[in-house]
Amino acid sequence: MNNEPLLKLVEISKTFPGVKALREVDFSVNYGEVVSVVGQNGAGKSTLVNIIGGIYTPDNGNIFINGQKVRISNPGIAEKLGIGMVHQEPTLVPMMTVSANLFLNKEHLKNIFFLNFEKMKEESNKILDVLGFNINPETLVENLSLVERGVVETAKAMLLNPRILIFDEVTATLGISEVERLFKLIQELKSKGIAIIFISHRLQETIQISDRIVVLRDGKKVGEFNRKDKVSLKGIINLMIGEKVEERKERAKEIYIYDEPILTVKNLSKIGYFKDINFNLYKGEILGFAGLKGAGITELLKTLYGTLIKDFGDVYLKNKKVIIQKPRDAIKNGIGMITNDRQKEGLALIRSIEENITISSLDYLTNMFNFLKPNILRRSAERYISTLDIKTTSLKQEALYLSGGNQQKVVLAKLLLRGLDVIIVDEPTKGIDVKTKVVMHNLLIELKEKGKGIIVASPEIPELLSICDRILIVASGRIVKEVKRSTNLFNESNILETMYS
Amino acid sequence: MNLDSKNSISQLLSSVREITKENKFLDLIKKNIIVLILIFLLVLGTLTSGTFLSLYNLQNIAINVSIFGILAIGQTLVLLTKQIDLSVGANMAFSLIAAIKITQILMSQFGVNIIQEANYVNSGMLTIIVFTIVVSNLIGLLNGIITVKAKVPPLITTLGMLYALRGFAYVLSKGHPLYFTYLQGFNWLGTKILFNVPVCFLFYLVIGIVGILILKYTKIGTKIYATGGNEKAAIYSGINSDLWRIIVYGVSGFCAGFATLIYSSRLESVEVAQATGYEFISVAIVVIGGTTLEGGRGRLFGTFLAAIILGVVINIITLMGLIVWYQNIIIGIIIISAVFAYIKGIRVKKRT
Repeated sequence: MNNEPLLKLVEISKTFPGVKALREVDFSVNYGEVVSVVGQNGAGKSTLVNIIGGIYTPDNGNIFINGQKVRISNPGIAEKLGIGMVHQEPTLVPMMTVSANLFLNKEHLKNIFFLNFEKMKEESNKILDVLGFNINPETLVENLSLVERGVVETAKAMLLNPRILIFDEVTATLGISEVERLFKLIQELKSKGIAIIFISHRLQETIQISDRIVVLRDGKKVGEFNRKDKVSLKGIINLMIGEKVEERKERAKEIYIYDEPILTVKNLSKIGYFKDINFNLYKGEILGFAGLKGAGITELLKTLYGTLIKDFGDVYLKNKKVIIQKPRDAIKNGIGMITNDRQKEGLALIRSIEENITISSLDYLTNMFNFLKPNILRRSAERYISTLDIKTTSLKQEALYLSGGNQQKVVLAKLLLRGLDVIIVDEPTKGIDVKTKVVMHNLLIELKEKGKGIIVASPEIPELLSICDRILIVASGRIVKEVKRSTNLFNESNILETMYS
Repeated sequence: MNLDSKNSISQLLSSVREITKENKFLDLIKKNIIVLILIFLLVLGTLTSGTFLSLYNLQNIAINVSIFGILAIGQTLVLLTKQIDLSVGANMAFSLIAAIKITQILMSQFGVNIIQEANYVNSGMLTIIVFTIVVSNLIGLLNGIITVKAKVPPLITTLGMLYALRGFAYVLSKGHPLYFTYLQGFNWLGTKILFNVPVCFLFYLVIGIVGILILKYTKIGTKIYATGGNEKAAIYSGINSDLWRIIVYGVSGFCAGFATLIYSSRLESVEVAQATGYEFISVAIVVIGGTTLEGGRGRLFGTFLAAIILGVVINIITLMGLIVWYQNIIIGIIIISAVFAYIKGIRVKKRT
C-alpha cells in the first residue's frame, strides 16, 4: 500500500443556483479511519458526501482513490469504486419487500433469466442478523418504521462490501440504544479496515467515535481535529459559528410582558414528532423556539395552528380550553401563523395583494346582505400597505411580483387585519435580505408592545437572541431548556451547545 | 343448464386446460378474489340467458377480451412506471392505416397496386402486418421519448398523440375505410378457431403468461416496479429509469399494433374511427385489475382477469337486451368500486 490515503478530495467546489455550497474543500479519509464532518445547516456537509457518493458532480477539483484520479459521475460508479452511502432519508421502494430492496439491481439469479428469491431472502436474513435487527425480509418497506427503514438502508449499503461507508445524518431519528448499536457496528467495520465518513448533529457522540473531525462553515473547511488533540464541544461549536462581524441590537423590552398567560400548552404530544410539551406564552412576550431540523418545532407549531392534529395534551387560550383541528379553529380562537413556506402556504401568488391581505377577514368586511364591500376591502389593504411599508405599485398587483420581504409583510398584514392575539412565525426572515430582516424584527417588537403574544421559531440563533424575551430549546421533540433574556446564558454559544449535545 | 351449454363450456375449458397445464397459472387462481368474481359472473351469465354458455358466445367473448386484454397488458406496464398511455386507441387506427399506405407506396415501386376499386386491399398482407407492428412500436417509443426526454407530462403527451394520430389517419386514408375482404388469409387472426379456442385468445394467453413471468420473476420486472415505485431509489441503485420508462411505452405501442390486427382481421376492414375510446377501456381494465395510479404497485395477473371480467360483463348486458349505454353505467360503477376496494385494502394493510 502506498502512502496515499484511500480517498482524497482536492479543492472541491460546488455551486448551486444562488448558493456556493462548497469552496475549495480538501478532504481525505484512510482505511479503518472514522472521519466526521460537522457544521451548521447549510455548511455543505451533505453536498460533500453527495459528491463522494456520485449524486452530484463537483464544478472544480479532483477526487483520488488510492492515488488514482477518478470521476464519480453517478451512484453506479461510486458503487463500483467501493463507496457505499446511507442517506439521510431512506431511498427505498415502499411497495417492494425488504429483500427486493436490498438486492435492487443486484439480484441473484437462478438461471439466466429468473430471480432467485430464496437465496436473496437467506442473505437478507444474514445481513439483518449481523446488524442485530429482527426484520422479516418479506415485509413491504412501507410497513416498516422509520428506524427499521434506516436499518434496511444501512444493510443495503453494507451488502456492497464497500471500502468507504458514508452515514449521512442517520442518527437524527434514533433512540439511545439504537445509536449505541450503530456505533458498535461502526467500530466493527473500522476494525475490518473500512473507512467511515460520518455526519451527525450529536456532537458529543461524534467526538466519542471519531478519529478525526472536519468542521465546515459556509462551504469552507475551517478546522480539523484529531483524536489526539483535546477536542472540546465548545471549541468545535465556536468554529462552526465563526466570528460574528455584525452588531446585534439588543432589545431589552421585558417591561412589556404581562403576568397573564395568553396561551398555555399542557402535555402536548404527537407520536413520532414531539412529546410532553408544556409552556406558557405571556401577553406582550416574544417566545423563541430553537432546535435542529427534525427536532419537531415546525410540527409543534403546526399543531397549535391546526394543520397537524395532536395525539395528547391540551391547549388553553386565556385560560379557556380550546380544540383546534384546523386552521379555521385557530383563527376563530385568535391564533394566526406564518409558516416557513410563505409562497406555498401563506399566499395566493397569482392573486392581488389586496385579496391576500383581506382573505382571512372577509366575514368582517361584508355588508348586511353578506356582500363584500369593495371600499372597505381597499381601505383595509391600503392601511396595512402603508403601516408595514409594503413596496408595491398598487394594491391590485399580484403577490407573485413582490420581493420576499414584502411578501412576508403581506402575510403578516393578513394576520394583523384579523386582529389576532397570538401570532406564530416560523422562520420569519427566511430568504429575506439583511435590511428587511431588521424591519421585520421591528414589526414583531411593535406587535409585542401592543400586547400580542408572539412565538418565533428560527434556525438563526442570532435572530432569536435579538428579539426574544425567552428562548425554549427543543431537541428530539422535547423542550430541554429555557433561557431567559435576563440571564447570562442568553447567548449563541450556550444555546448551540444545548442544541447539539 | 342444458346439455348443449354444458358440452360447450367443458369443451372450451378442457381446451384451455390442455394448453395451460404446464403452467403455474392454475396455482395462482387459488388465492384470488378476482377469480371468485369471475366465477360469480359466469353463474350470473348462465342464469341470464341460455345462450350465454354456448360455444359461439364464449368464443365471441374470448375474441373481444383478447383485443382489450392485449391493450391492457401494455397499459399495465405503463401505469406501473407511474405513466399513462391515452394514445393506444388512436395508435390502433393509425398504425394499420399507415402500414397500408407504406406498403402501397413500396409495392407500387414494383408496379404492384395493392388497392383495387379505391377501397379494397388485395395483396401485400405480410408487409402490412409487419409495418403495422413497426409503426405502432415507433409511435409508442415516440410517446416515451417525448415524455421522458422532453419531460412533457405523460397525460399530455399521449393526449396530444390521441388527437394527432386520428388526424393523421384521416389524412392518410382520405377518410375512406379500407376493406380486406379479398386479402387472402387476413382474417385468420380474428376468426380462426383452434381446438374450439379462438387463436387470438391463445395469443392473449401467451402474451399474458410471458408478461407475468417477466414482470414477476426477472430483473426486468424489478426494474419496472422500482422505476414506478420510487424513481430516486431506482436511479441510486443504478437502474436506468429513463430507458425503462421509454421501453414500456414501446411495449404499449406493440400491443396496440397487435390488437388492431386482431380487430381489423375480424371485421375485415379498417377505418379512421375504429377503436375510439379503447384507451379508456384499457386504463379501466388495468385499474380494476388492481394496479394503482401511484406507480410500482399492481399485478399483470389482475389485469389479465379483469379483461375477462369486463368482457363477460359486457356480454351479459348485451344478452339481457339492454342498450350499449348500460354497459357504460356498469363499467363506471365497477371502476370506482374496484379502486375504492383496493385503496381500503391498502390502508388496512398499512395499519398492521
